[in-house]
Amino acid sequence: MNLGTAGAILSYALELETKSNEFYESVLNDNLDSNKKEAFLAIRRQHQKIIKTLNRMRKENVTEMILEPIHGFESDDYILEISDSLNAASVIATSKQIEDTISKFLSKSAMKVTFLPELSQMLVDLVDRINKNLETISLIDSS
Amino acid sequence: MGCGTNILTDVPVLKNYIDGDWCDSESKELRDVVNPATGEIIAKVPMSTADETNSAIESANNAFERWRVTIPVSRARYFFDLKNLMEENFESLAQWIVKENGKTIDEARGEVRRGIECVEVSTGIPSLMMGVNSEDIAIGIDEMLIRQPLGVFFALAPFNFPNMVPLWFLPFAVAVGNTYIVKPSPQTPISQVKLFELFDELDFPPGVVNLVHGDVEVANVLLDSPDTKGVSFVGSTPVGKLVYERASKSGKRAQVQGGAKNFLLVMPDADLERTASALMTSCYGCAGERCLAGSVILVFEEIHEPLMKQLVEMARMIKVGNGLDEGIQMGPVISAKAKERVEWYIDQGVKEGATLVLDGRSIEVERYPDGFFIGPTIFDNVTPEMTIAKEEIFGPVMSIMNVKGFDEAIDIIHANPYGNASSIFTSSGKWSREFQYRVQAGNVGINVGIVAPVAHFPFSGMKDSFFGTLHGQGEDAIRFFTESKVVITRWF
Repeated sequence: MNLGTAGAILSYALELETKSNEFYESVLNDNLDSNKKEAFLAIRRQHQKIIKTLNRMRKENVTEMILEPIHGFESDDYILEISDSLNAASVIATSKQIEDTISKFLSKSAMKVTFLPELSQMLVDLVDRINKNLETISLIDSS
Repeated sequence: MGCGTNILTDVPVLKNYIDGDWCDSESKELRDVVNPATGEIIAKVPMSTADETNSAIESANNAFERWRVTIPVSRARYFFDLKNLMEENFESLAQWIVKENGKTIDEARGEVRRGIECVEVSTGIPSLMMGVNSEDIAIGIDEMLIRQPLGVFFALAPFNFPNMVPLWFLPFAVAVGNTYIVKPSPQTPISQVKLFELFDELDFPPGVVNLVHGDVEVANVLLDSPDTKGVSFVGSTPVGKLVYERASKSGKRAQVQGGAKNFLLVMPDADLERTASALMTSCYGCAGERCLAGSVILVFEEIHEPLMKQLVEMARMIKVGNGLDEGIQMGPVISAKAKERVEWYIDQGVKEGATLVLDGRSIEVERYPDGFFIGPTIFDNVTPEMTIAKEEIFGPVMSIMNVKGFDEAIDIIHANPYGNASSIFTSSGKWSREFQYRVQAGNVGINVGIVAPVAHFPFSGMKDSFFGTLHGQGEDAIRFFTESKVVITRWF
């Protein structure tokens, strides 16, 4: 899908976040040792907060005064491939892929909405939070 | 609920909201409310009778004495609750705007946000409506000014911002202690029905807020009634003049926002890429159907070619379609009649010798053959005497006019009877200051294409774009909706 407006970008970000949240929920329902469970709980909590923030951004930061058309941004370049398998290796691989895709998507989004500086800055802030999730996943992987 | 169902058609028939109740109109005249993207009839709106309008006035008048003695903090709390309800229903309110008006979902979300901001400002009414006092204007004598509500006010609202425009007025008027009647545009009445469903949920005392559907007849009853104290109008200048005259005859207060023809001046030192983007928003946002829309771009010869190239490239890429489809960048105009009107202006531009660089008349929008779509249109070589340079088109048409200097540009802007908004694009502080100082427009933009004042500032306008003294929103609104009473005190 062509992401030609700020609203379309935020809606797609919400779609990605909802999918990732569902994935982590299924991971948490599986048998995990307590350390991993705590780490994945923290990651899921971040995504739940990000969903709230994205909803608030869509309501509060997209003003009709400055809605410049956006070009050259397609959702097809940022698809989450979520594996059904929940073995340890695939969970880590899928988590990394989710966080990496969302991080790239939000970074590109921030660049595409520079005409709405507040929105752009908030997206950059979200990228930092997603990157912290990536660090957490690397720690789980190496433990 | 704000609507019943017409048994014959299954299309909802909208109801009035009078004295705290939803009521069916007895009127036999129903008009279609049409989704401009699909051509589908989504509701029927009654042209209410004089009796129904008078009943709303009577109810508002009866409610006034009790409402004005409700303490301001309590009145403000209704608006805190309204803000919360609007947030909870945010997406639904935005979607209704798109369905009945045609703008894009982002534009509709922006509209709802702007409306909420007015509600938020009105929650500060206990401070905002405070008077002033002065001790010792003479020895032992003090003087104070008190702001008091007057009675029943009403809004005659336009189709282009069906949710937001009544909120420029109602929250301020009601929070200071007046009672209110809204007559929405018969083309887009649903957004107000949805808002009044929230008022109903808040359980305002009966008669404090009322909604009456209709057209000229309802407006005239409201304007002629000795029991209404003032009117807020947003619409075209010819109708605005009639409203102003009629309101003045019966001694009412009036704030009348009329039409516009907004000129945007691009100086040779402007950042062309960012300017071109801003011009896209200005001329094509809301399909050009807003009183702040850019219409004529005044360009210096030396930047004419590169700017034109960018504008045409960007305008060609704008995705036109049903505003509910996210990613769509421009929706349809409001009606078949509006489409014909804009097309007439494009024909006229061609006949009078302007160069049609991009023609939006031939646009076809996949899946929506019955929508009232016009694509982005650009005219070049426009001159001041052409119809498209003088009259408000209210559609997605951009006219490029060459100028040789700053003074010539100012003269062209001033020759136009309107004075709603005007912008300059430049990197020079000197030119922007000069523009701001000299230009005869109520809302002035410096590198901003849509100069929409936020809720704590007045929505300005001058010349044929505004009739009255005090504008909507901000401190002007508080003063418009209150009487200034002065008390001088001496104690023996």
